[in-house]
Amino acid sequence: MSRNYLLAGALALIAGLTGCVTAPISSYDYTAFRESSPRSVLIVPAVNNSVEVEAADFYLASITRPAAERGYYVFPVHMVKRILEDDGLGDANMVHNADTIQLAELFNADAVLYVTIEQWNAKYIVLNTVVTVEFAFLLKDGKTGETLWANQQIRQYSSGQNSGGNGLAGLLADAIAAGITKAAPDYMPMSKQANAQAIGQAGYGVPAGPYNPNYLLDLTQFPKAPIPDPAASQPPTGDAAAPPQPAAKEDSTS
Amino acid sequence: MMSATRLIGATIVLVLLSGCVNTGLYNWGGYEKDLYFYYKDPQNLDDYTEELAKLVGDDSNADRVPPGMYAEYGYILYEQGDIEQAREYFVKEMERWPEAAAFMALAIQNLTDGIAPQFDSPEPAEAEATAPVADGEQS
Repeated sequence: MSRNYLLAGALALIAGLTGCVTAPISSYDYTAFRESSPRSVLIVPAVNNSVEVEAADFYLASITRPAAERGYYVFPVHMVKRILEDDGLGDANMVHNADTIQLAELFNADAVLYVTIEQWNAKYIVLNTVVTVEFAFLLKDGKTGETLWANQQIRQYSSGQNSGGNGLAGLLADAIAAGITKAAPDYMPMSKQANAQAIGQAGYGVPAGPYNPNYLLDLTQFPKAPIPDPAASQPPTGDAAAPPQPAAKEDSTS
Repeated sequence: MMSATRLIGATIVLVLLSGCVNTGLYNWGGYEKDLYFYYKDPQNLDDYTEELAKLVGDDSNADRVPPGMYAEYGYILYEQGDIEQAREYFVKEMERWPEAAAFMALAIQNLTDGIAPQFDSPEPAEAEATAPVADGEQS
């Protein structure tokens, strides 16, 4: 009995204090990921479908840190970009369309991360600025070319919103607000936030890698097979990788 | 019994919490910011280079140097024509990270052979067989 209270207390503490460990609500299927168990990730330049020409370069500056902090060896993104350019692969579309196994072999990478920037824009409406970033993530096995993980994130910030919050969310909102100016909106805080969410979210992110203390200790958060949870109520925003929810009731509002 | 349970519970909480505290595995300094500003304007290369030098220079704290940083610094040195120092940092990357060993060995070999760290390109899956014109620094 006391153990149950203790467990409940621990969970409440975790949920309340950190906000970064959440019980899995269903989950991505990590079967292929766990079998591959990559140690190193080659991050190639992003394909840019947005209207902002420089978005792909800017994005590259924001992705190494979260991937490395997750516990993986991340190949030097700028050096990799330059080498690919020297090899006639300066166009990210060509890199993304090239054979994954061959590409991984060049660098001896266990896995290759492909990011596509779908949106990276700012819209000005009277006194309000709305900034949007949207990324699609695809991680492939370097030996087989098989998809190990996929995720999609969209982040939108409106300068008209009153953050008014405190704690981490408030700080993030403030950091983003500080970067939103009409002259040159700073997309980096939002880009970082989207990456952190994509990679770190329990059940949908990337499991801890070999340099992370949680390596192989997170089988519950990132299970080998998805855990269907009947209590699943809130699918994570913008997560296209979520397995289909068991259709509990017909939804007439679609 | 009770206190043992409590201790285990407390330990679990601590372990879980420690994974979330914002200290991180590595010291990133201004890496993200300086790479961003370098991409924004290639004239900021010096700031980026200086930041990398700072990050990789602290040998007493080598465990906190992020993966890839020795290689990034070595590559900038190579681009600036400092082959000897470039080699030195490629070796450091290789010794620190076994995952980088093959890539760095190849880069070092190419430095020795006096050619750019280049590799045979993978075949593009799509039809465009001809290499695109290498775009310049600015876009």
